[in-house]
Amino acid sequence: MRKKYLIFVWACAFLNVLTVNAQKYTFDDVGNIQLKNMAPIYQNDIVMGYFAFYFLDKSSKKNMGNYKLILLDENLNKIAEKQLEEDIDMEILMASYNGKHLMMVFHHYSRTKSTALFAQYEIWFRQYDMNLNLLSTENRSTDDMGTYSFKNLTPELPHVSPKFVAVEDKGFVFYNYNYYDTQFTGRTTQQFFPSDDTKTWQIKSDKYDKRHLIYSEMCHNDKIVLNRLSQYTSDYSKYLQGVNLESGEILFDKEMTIDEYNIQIIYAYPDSMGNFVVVGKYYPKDKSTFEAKNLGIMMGKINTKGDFLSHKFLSWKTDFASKIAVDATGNIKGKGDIFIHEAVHTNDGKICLIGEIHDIKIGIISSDVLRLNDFVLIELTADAVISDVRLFEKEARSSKFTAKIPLGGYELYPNIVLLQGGFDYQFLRRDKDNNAYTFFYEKQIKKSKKKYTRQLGTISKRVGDTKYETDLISLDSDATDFQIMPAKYGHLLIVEYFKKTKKLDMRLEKFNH
Amino acid sequence: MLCAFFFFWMFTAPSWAQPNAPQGFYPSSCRHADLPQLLSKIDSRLAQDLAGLPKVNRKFLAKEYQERADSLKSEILGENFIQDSLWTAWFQNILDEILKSNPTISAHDVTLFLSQYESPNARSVGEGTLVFNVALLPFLKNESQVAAILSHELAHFANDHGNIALHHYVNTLYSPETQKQLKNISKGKVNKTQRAIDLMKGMAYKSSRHSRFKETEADSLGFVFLSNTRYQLKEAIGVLKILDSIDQHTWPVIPYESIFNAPGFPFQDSWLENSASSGLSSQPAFHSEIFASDSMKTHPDCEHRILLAQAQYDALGQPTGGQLFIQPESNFLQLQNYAQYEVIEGLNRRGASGRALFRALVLSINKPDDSYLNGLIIKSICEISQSQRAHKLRNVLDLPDADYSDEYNRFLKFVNNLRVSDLEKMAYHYALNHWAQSSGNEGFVFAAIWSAYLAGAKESFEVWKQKYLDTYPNGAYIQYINELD
Repeated sequence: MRKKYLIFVWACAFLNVLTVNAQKYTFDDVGNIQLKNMAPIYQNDIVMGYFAFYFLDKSSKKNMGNYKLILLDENLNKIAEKQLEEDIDMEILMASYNGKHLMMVFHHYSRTKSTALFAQYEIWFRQYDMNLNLLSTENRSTDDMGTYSFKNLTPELPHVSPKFVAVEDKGFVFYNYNYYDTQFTGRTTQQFFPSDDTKTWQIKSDKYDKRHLIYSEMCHNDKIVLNRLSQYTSDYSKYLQGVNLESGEILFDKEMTIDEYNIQIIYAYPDSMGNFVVVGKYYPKDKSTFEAKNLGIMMGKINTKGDFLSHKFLSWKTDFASKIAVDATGNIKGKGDIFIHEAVHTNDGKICLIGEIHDIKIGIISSDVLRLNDFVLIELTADAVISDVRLFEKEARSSKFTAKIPLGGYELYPNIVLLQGGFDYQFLRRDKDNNAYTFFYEKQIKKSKKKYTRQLGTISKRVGDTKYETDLISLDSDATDFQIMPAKYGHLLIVEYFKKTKKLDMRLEKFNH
Repeated sequence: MLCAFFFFWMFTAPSWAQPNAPQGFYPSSCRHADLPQLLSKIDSRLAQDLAGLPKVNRKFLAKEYQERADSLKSEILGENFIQDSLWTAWFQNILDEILKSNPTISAHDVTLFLSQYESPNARSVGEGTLVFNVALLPFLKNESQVAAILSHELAHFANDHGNIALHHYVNTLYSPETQKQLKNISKGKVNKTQRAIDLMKGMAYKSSRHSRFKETEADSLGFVFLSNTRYQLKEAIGVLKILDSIDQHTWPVIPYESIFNAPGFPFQDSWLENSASSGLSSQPAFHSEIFASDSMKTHPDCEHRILLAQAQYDALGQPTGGQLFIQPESNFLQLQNYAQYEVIEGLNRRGASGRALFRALVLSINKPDDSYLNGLIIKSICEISQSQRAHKLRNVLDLPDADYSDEYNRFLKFVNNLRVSDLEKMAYHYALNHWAQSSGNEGFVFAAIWSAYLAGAKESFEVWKQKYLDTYPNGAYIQYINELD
């Protein structure tokens, strides 16, 4: 589906000139410029700025257009701009900054290679300096990349999207998934684009390796990038892969198991010794991670071969039950099961896991019903000791699924809810020094039978604080189009488009954190 | 309720003026006593201008004239111009001296307004109205320099530069050639934007609305005007030199810790940390100081103008030497001092709480016991906190920008690092710290009450409120204080 373009009266972008007159021509009559797309520029998880990509007009060359690319800093101040002549359907997919260069992925629909059944795209990987001078470009043909699935590439949803990883001063690792058939059999490509004289490399997964359907970077240090692989149809995220950043050599590709448990890694980060701290849920080995109920949280450390150097299991039954009323499978009586959305570490060595309590009633004839309840915030010390567990109360709400959830395992259901965007939890942001973090959730307040007012709730914590700061931001707007984008820590970018006045308003709003 | 009160306050609160205050600075009134006559004068001048318009492009010209008049009226109705006689009399005396010495200028058409805008600038609107931003005054050295600036703006008016620019723009835009080109671009299919930009170059009348048109011509005629007065002619060159370096102004470093540290609310170093900024913003593309972005410095080529002025001075000379001051120098110095407060008051009045706070903090470095400044600091912090609670912070506080000075960016990062609760406690403890020196000031007491309310300091709130009610039974803030209950 084509995006709805936001339109500026282009004269506003340059100068105020006279308004439209029916008899005479003014500059307003000449045309409009269109904001084709705008998105944050990330340095890994941190928003460093934004790009805005404007379509100006058609160029004199066939199927080509004139564009303006504008680079904004984190405070929406213009850093640079560049006029480009590109394909008439060109868009910028995503952008990343590695402290040295800017990588932008351009793409456009291929008129020559697309068929009635399959859309084909041309993709350009371009590195720029901060003045938008082009440093390198690489075009990937669809023959090489396969039919491109853009569904996975939504930068606004960091928890489900493959990442475009910026390796500090070295380059960028790009993850791409290609569908090959309707049986979810596909191939993942992982490619490194250097920012210096080092060689590029590419890893293509085995076409028949189903684990690669969900394949993304977990973290990296200056030598290794750590990837998570998931087997969508049976096991979820229990494989870890380590790749040498310089050579592209796969250092390890392992199923995460310890003793009689399978482990689904949720979060990892590099420590100062070159190893990786990993946190995950653990399950009994006799069932897949989709079917089994998880038994608790595992925190450990792996080396560069993927071997565990240390680990500790924290069970719901013994370790957590003394702090909250939870049973052995992570169920809180009368409320539901805990689904861990995300985790984050802070510079004091602690790790916070953010869970949401949910209860899914599978109807035999009637609709399946999801009931969402409180958040659970779990804080672990660097020694894997539970330092804090607390319920963060929020108004419970129920919603019916329009389509039946396929019968499957215990862990499958919340993952389907997650893919459908059914949870209140939205996303997590942290500051670049790992000194503070905030997670966002959506709150709906019923105004009438069919009308809801929507708010974005925030729950934040800084290192050293004992209590969480909260805020609620209204998502109701008079604007024709309204969008919230990630911003520098402590802020949200609110973009509003007013059709009547053809006005686009962008503002960074601080929330209490 | 709190938000409702806050917005009610933002738009309906009286000026920070405290006519009953026993000491300190009292902001000038911006309410025009002769408002109907003033508006009527603008209307009649507009009618006169419209009647004299040529037939060609009359409709478009009339629209521009109308817009110009409406804009001026809007500024007047928005109470942007100082009406205090202390100010107006002093400036009017200078203007009268110039007009009296230059009978060729149509004195009847000339009106001078003094604005609280923060940009150090002056402008000629075009139909006889001159606007002098009092923010310019602290940069000047004497009354003669003020006269030189007014002479320059009068020269723009006398030579009809504003109207000439307006006519030039309209006639160019609606000329057959431009219309033909616009039509071609509009009906064309390719490269329309670049072609329009190329055509637009040189037609940007509105971007130079404030008469940066024929600057050297205005310098020259202004020089002649000044030479006919008793003022010192050489100061016209001096003022150009000042304008040439006006953007090199630097702010002093604000000692936040010593200002805001309080026994009950110790200052935290983390408030001054720069953790929020990214690598992208550390590579600024521009370095100009924002406060001077609309200053007279932006008139073209100051250096060249100084050389021309010097040559003209050498040719004209001034045998008598002229006087630096015709009015007592103390008046100039007093207004120079007040000008900084008026700018702060103007920012406060227009809801620019962040900028008002910044300037108040700068000024308070050397005046820590100034009741007006202390009250305004508390009030601005309260307004910022309430804007943040309502997620409207951007309406009152700028974001850091490479265009801003380092010190202003440091201030913005400091305020951005503070939580709402930090801001409210900070305002309250600042009020506590300054209560002894400043509680004789009505505005300060009101701000202190508001801060105590926001910080949840019930005892202070009750005590301070009672003090206000006892001292100012007919005070300007009674209604707002009752709203806080």
